[in-house]
Amino acid sequence: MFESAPRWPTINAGVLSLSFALFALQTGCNGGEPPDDSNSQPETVEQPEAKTLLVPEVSVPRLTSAQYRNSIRDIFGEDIITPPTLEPDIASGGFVAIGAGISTISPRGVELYEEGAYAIAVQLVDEDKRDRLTDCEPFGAQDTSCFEAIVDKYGPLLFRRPLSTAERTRYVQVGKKIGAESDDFWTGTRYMLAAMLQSPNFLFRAEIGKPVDDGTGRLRLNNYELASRLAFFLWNTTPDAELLDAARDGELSTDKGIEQHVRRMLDDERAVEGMRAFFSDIYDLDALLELSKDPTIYTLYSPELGLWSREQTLLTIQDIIFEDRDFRELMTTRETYLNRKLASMYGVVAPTREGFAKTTLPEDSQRYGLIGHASILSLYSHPVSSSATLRGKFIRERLLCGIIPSPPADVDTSIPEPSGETPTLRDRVAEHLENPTCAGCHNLMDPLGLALENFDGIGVWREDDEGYPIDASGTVDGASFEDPQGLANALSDHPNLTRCMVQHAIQYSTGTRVTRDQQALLTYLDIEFAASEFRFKELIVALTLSPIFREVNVASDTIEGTDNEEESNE
Amino acid sequence: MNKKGLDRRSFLRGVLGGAAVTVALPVLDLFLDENGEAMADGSALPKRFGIYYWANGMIPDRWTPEGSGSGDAWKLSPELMPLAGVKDDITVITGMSVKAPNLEPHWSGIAAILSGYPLLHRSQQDYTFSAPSIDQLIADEVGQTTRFPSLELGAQPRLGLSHRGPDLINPAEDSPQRLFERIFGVGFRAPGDMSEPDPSIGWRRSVLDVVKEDNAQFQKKLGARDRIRLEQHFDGVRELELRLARLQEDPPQLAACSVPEMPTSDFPDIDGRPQLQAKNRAMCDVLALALACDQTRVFSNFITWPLNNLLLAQTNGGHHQLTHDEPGDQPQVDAVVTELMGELAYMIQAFKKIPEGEGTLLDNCALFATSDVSLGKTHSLDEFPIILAGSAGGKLQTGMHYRSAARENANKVLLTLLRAMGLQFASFGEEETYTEDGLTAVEA
Repeated sequence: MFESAPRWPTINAGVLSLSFALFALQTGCNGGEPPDDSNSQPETVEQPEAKTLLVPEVSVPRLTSAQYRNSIRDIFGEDIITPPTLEPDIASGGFVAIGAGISTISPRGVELYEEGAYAIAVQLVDEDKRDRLTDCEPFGAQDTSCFEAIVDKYGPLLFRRPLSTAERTRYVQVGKKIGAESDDFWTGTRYMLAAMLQSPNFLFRAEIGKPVDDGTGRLRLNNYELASRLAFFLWNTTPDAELLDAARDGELSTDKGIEQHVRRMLDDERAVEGMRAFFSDIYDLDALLELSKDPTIYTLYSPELGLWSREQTLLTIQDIIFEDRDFRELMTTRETYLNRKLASMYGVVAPTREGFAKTTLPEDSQRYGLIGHASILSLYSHPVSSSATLRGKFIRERLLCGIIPSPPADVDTSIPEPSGETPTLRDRVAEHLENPTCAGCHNLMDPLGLALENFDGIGVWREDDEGYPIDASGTVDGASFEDPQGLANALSDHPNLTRCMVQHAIQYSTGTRVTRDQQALLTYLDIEFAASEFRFKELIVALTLSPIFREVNVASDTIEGTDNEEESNE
Repeated sequence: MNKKGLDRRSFLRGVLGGAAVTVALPVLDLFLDENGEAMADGSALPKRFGIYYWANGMIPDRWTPEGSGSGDAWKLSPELMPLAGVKDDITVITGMSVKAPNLEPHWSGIAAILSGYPLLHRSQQDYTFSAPSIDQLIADEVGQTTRFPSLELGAQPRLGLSHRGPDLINPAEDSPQRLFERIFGVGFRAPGDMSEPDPSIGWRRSVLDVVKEDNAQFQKKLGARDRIRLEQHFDGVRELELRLARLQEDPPQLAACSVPEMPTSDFPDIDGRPQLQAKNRAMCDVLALALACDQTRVFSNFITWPLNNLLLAQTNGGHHQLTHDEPGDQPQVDAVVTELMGELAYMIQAFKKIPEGEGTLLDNCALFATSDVSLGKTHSLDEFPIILAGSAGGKLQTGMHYRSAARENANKVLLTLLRAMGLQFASFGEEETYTEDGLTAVEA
């Protein structure tokens, strides 16, 4: 696989012509003026030097609940059941991956992880399963060597690194103590495993690095930390034994070794789960699992709509990533996956009787790309109506990585009811677009959402809005369009589209927000992304080989005196 | 343990042995001293503090009672009508303003009214409470001797809003059955149960010692910011240890303590609508007995979540959307607010049903009901909705409508509540929210 993989430009080679639209989205909505596109002339952008990049700060994310479950499954087996309730994930700015680096474990979370640890440990020492836990035949309730064998086998898998001598001793001791008091080796083992499962070494990922020798003060992740970061990024689960062995053997110290493992991991089926987790987070698709619409208004709505439409979107994305297609096709492709219910909602022939199957939507369907999916159309709507603002905000924030400030407080943000004077949503939101208080931001959102008004609040096509014709035309940053297809094409060509995907990839994989000072990171990788003709897997390879992924900066609020007298590993 | 407690041992064993059953215990005054105001061991009846929070505000014109003062001097407003049965137990406070800058609709209000300090606004998409919510300040003071320093729950709370500090959220339990299991499940012993504590509790504590040592070592690798996060985890482990230690002690001696019926596990949405009422009531029933059994003295009930778009009260639109887009007098929003006040009334009644000393559990509570805005349509922080219930053991007035004529600082109410709970703060808040004065008119 690695040998035959196409080589592509090395890190410092690329000088590409890219057009950047430098909108003032970072700080506000341009004071009510529509975006100025005079800066969007193509310009030659030189790739920054890797060693000058301001890499992300140290992050110590806690495992998300999916990562916890996946880790347990991959370490102990499919049949080990993790209890349904764990500490909830906490999103920051709408992203769970960033929230994981900010939030901690609450007292209630400690309780839930304790419950979870015992619920898992009791299964592991079950009489039917204990044989696979260890080959060691315990000689009595305090058999040191059998406790050691279990710690040596599972400790490194759970902590994603070798244990220190002191750690190993602590676990063996607590196992022996409880083994003695209960007069049962397996009871001791149960409590010993429960201790490891509650340890911060399992629940948090310490990807903190060691100083690089070049005097820059930057920190480089050690090989185990790198293995962990790779696995949670690409697989949304813990590193497998092969990756941990590679870390031990120094294979992850070289570009070649990293690339070899990244490509292996992308070919592994766990990458599908990993990429689904990534796209679910950046587009907030898990919110679809709680989708709720008024069934009296939307007669085609069913409680499974959220689940199904999420699946459609994720399967469509999977194809684009794993068939190595140009990522921008996500904006325009008519190829997708449908089940019978979605097909009937879309008014097309069902491609299958059971489950989902691939299909190509007819050219006249006007469902082009992601913005024609019921997932996005229903999620960014109200329970009883569509919303030009919510849909436009999705496009601006999640597809183009602009920032739309919240509306000012203390203003009436309501829009008029449909009436003879203002029959359509375009008429009704007109005030937002004329009132200077509102227009600055709403001009960035509403025209994009209005282009999708032919899709109702659950994404069903409609020719008109209660009998009134729908005008779906508009412009986005200088590109005009007449209909949803036109908007899809404009987004596909929008220079911020791929740059935004780079930003999502950095933020998700490092658990940190890309700041205004770090725009060079986006330029650096966008050039690499472009050089691969926007193959998503190549973006991942470029990211993981770059210092953005492998190095960290000391956290800005770190005070002096970090105590380095930790227990040594060995 | 009082020897008389042994008499009840066999009586309660049935509760613990098998399926949970509600045992309506008579008011046994044997644990109270002669004047009925204190526990047998001489300690005063515990005071409790609770928050009832609902999202998206109210409609001031439909909310503000007619007349002010005590007794018959004021009448309940339409939105407050569900509280008719407890009118003498509540104090409605109107005309107050949340003084924090209103920068982030809903969130500026909720952070300020629950914590007394403005929202910490790091960037456009990154904001959090800047200070602990007052339930946590109070829990630090009065919650340290009970099994749970505080309980967070709610029918549709999403995450909950109780904060130990910036980014430090105490997630709220949203399943009545899990709430029950947490308090009355494995390990709980009702008053009078003198059976040996489960030996596994000691083993769990040994395990937690290992976790604490791991945490201490882990912290040494970290910078300041992450060290604080791990310190929070460490505190949580220590809290759990104390909780286990309490299970090893003799159970509390409280007359009205009994094990509630276990709620059903499932409250599925019906036609896209949550079973808000059924869930809230099941949770309040468990909560009332958790308080009666002195398992906690501090709680927050976050019945709904800021900006939620739930279909409530037979409306034809999501709650948040209706607050902005329903025209005219907003009868549907009005119906939702009224429904949410009905749920507050249920909670108050549940506490009032439990006898304690010469009065009821409610008398020993300070309950604080509020939202994130007043009029949802404009995200206003004036005319902020505030209701108190219970007298905190005689510290607060009840049966009263206090009308502020001058947009007084809502932090006065928080300071009054903190002081009623025994926290002697000289002042509370900062800059616009700063106050040295409580709202003396509602203090007893």
